Amino acid sequence: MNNKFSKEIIHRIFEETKEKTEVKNIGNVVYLNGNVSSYDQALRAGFIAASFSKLRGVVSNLHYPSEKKIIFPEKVSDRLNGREFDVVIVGAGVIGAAIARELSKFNLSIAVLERHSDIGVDQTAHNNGMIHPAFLTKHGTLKWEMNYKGNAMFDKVTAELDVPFKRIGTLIVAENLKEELMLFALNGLVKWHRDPSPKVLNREELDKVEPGLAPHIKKGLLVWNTGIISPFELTIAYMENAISNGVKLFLETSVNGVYTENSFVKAVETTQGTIKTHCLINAAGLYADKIAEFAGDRFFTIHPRRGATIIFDKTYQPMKTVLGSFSMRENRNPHSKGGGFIPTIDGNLQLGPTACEVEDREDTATSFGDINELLDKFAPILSRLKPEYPEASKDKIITYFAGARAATFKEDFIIEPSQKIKGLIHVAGIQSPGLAAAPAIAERVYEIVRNEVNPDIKNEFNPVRKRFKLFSEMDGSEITERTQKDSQYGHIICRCEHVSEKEIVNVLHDDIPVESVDAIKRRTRAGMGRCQGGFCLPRVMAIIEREKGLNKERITKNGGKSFILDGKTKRGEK
Amino acid sequence: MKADVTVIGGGPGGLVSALFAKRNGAKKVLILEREDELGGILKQCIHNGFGLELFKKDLTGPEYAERLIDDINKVGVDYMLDTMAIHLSNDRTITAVNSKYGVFNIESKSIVLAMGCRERARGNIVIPGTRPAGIYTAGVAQRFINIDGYLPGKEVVILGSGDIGLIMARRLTLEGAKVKGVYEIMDHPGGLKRNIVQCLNDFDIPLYLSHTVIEIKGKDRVTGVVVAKVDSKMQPIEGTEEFIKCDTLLLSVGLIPENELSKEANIEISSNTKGPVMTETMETTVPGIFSSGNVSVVFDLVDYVAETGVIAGKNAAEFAKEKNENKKFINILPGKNVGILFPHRYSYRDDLILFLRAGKWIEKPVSIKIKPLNMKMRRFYARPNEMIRIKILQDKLLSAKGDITVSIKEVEG
Repeated sequence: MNNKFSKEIIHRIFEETKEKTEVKNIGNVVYLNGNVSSYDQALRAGFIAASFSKLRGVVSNLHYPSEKKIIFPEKVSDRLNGREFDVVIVGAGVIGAAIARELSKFNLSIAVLERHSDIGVDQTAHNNGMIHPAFLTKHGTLKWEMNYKGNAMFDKVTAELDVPFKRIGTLIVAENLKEELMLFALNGLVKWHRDPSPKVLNREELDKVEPGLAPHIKKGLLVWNTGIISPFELTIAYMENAISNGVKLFLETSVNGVYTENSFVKAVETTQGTIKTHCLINAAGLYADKIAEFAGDRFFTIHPRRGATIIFDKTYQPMKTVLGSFSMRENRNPHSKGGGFIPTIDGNLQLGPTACEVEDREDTATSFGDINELLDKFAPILSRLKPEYPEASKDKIITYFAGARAATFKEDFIIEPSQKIKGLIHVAGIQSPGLAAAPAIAERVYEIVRNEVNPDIKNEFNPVRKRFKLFSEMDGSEITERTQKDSQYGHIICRCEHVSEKEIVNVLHDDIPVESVDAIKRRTRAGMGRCQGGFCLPRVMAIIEREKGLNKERITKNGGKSFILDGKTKRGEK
Repeated sequence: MKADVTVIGGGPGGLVSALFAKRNGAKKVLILEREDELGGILKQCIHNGFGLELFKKDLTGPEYAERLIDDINKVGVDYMLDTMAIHLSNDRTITAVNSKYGVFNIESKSIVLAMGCRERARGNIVIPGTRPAGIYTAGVAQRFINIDGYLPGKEVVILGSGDIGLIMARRLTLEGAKVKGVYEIMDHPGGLKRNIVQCLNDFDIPLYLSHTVIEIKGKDRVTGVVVAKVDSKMQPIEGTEEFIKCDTLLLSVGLIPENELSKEANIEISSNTKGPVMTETMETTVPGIFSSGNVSVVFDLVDYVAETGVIAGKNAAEFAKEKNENKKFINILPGKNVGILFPHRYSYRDDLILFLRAGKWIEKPVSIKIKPLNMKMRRFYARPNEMIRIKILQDKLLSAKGDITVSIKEVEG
């Protein structure tokens, strides 16, 4: 039976790719072995295997000529040697941070390990900040369940954590009679996916929700639960709240091994020393399969899928909702729900993301192709839907970036205790709509830990985090009042986004110990405006130097070796 | 707070405007400067070549600024440092913020905008690739070296042949960095001829015309860029890609006037000059709000900036004394082969100083025609990288009716 199943997969892979592979099926996990001609072929084989139903996972061990080995960072210190925590969470993206906060409701000692010098910088940072409605995910999947449950939790979570959040809605407009009929079918689909009370709007109602639509648009479907949020800020808020409830965060700490004994988790080996623990939560995003492999429980493979996004200048913001049409949906990549124009909570319009399979997990480079693809695909549609506005074009772009999604071949989330290793919990394959799902995922992990570890509930858990009020959010009299007490409030450092010295100083003394220019940018928006740091970069560096006692030559853009300067000038060296 | 003339920005345009507002009788003249010193970009321009026209002397940027600062101190101009103007309304009220007063309003009888420009950044020109450290605009690099005393990198590629980029090619070389080349997407240089000669040729730094950077490589820090030749439509030509190893990419790809406050005050912005629509008196489309220097249009020379400051300051002082909302004007329009043309309107109140750039590179004798004045001027060539200045006396213009059109025509030897 088992053998027959494997043969069927081998046959199908050969038929479609002409590649000869070896397939092993162990406990409904398929392992692909052998050599193929390219990374693309390896990917195709993985997807073909994953298309067989009832599989728990697909692991690709396929080799190909240009294959690059993943290099893990070398050990840098022993400072964590001998430390012990009840729970260790690997990865401080939005998922790791949400889990940390949720688990801090227990009487447990918790550590979060993050390989970068800041939290939320991989998938989270490159996320488009949309809290998706659930109808775009496949009904019945774990992704879908986490999506609709998570979406519904956002009002409470953002109120507790004081994170700006707006439900702006997804609006799908019909451009002809046929599409108007399709709207009603879509309405049913949306309800079936448990997005609450979608509504078909007539033209008058449309004008209130999304002014300036083209005259040929008579009807649209509003799925109002779509929200927008800053993914950085949510992650930071989760982590700050977790830290205030006793969680310890270790930055620049990468996991290089997992010690188990008789199939029990015992310790994790990190670049900063070995930490003892009985409960390891694998929220390692792009490297979640590697953590699973370290623990001897590899049953999925992460294949990074890069997505590029364009950000437009604030003066170009023709949309109030996430506006979609049937033709826009046709243009989407089958593995991406996103793709389109999405307003951000900060008032910019963004376009993206693309979806492109890449081999290198660290590949976050953008290409002309990405930018042109996005503009060519979506700009003409937007112009048709909203002809009053100028077309989205290159000259309105202020920046663009790409990030890699941590996709598995099954393309579903994995949130479960290991079937092999006691104390190991996988939270893997979390790609879009992972942000929308984050609160529900954290809740699910909370339940798993309660079952597995059976800890006491903490009496003194404080769910509230207060955000630092930004200059741009205060009226003149409040700024004046604060400036009288502390002059830094009145000293503007970033001219585009109106960020004061006080905000930057505050970040540098936060519980999350950061000192890079980008860490400040993510938190305050200093350098995110139209001049892209031309004015504030030297000023921000001067503040870092002063507050952290860090020589300017040691200041980085984004941690690691991303030094901004290369030593003093000749005169300075004297 | 109240003032007769408030100048937003304490760079060369602002300093000269304030000086001439005061000299023309404005009582309280106030400069708002967001940095901790006056002088604007001149502070970091430690090379010479400033002031040849205005002071008849070859000065460095800081020397030029110091002369102006001495002058405004002599005549008694007020200034507030570390003070940012954050809002501007068309009733001439400025909202500003600083660490002494917090947020405060200034009601001013007239205003001179002198906010200058910002540099176009990577996002504006869309270069794909990674996002490492080591990508700076030329002006930021200039600040790092000349003000902070740090070298931004050791192996440098410069994209764009604007004047600041050229100056920085020389500056970096003098500081021991290796400048591997200046790459310019256009088929002609963007900066002044004298800078090509003195900053590149004299230091054997190659200039690659019709080339651009198509990709940035490197994870933490830039490790190199891919450059390519471009065709006549400025599209990269396949097969011409070349990897250049470097740790720094400097961008010198143009300046954009800082129009945010102007837009807020409903000042009309010109699609030709990218700054406010203005008359020969340097008045914008909002009465009593004047403009000077690079926030109006990007000039080649600080002396031209100063010249607009003289006019703006004088007229702002006059407006502060007696509101003169003269609405009569004719348009000044670019004709054939004229790219940038400044100012945009003539209101019969003063001499007219035209600043223009050729719309294309014409390397043979040309004639500049100004209709309907029947004026013709001959020049040996017309190059977009060199601004042309033409002064026309008021007498000649008083009888002009209908719009003025300026055009450039190729003429035979």
